[in-house]
Amino acid sequence: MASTSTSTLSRKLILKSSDGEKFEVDENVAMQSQTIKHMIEDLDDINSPIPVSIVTGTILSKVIEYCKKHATEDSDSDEQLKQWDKEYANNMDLNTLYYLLLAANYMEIKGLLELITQCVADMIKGKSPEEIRAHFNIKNDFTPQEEANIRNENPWAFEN
Amino acid sequence: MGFNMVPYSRLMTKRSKVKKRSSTLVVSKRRKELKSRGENEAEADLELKLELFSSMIDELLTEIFLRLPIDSVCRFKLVCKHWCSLLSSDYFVSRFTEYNHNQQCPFTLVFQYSVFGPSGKCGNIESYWSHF
Repeated sequence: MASTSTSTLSRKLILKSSDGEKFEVDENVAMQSQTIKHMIEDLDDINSPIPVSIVTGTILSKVIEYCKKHATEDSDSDEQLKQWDKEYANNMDLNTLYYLLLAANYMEIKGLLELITQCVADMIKGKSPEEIRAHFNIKNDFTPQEEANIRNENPWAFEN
Repeated sequence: MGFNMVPYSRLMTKRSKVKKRSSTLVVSKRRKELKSRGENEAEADLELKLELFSSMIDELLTEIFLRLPIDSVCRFKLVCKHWCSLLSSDYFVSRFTEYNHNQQCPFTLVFQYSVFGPSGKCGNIESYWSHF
């Protein structure tokens, strides 16, 4: 599924996750991340592992899967790529999505950030405030009066 | 589609400012503490989830909220005070207006006016009608 036709001209980089796992990737794949791009520019020795210090190996492997797909833009049409993105995001549970979101933010991968934020929005949009609180373990800190005021502002939003 | 470049770069600038004291570092440290204390895995996971969510920086939450339909935005103000303040902020209202404008959804704009009100928070009414 991932790029099998990697360019032999592309340099290889080694990314090292927070838990010490190492991944060898083509430079053009790693460059999807603005953070890594900037790190490479400052790096003297290209052969030493690049630390992605706040991302675990499990999450980093998923990030790399996304970057590989998007680094080989010629292979798929826009429509195929969109379909791939959809399946990629749909295969993640909510917990993984949060870690991916933080990773995409830290690594500055704009496309992945957009994909995940849209996916989380789609997952939560139909839920009630009570369901959201239960889902995310959020404590309701409103008084009954404050709650009533908010409901009265836009009563239509609370109709089923 | 996509992020507007100005707010996005603002997001990134903010992000780099908080990078040094990143929430994820706190989370992974916390996980180690929990594990070393020998608490059970499920409890540690729940703690982690809680901490992860509560520490998710507001910009990321805002990026998610931008992609919600207007009725969800109104409903989610009731989740907690923090969400309410994010969803009612001038920053969010103007980003939301702009985001939906870029999605070319005029009905949402009219809706927004009725929801957010003419307080000037989200620009003036003429700017909405000019889209028709």
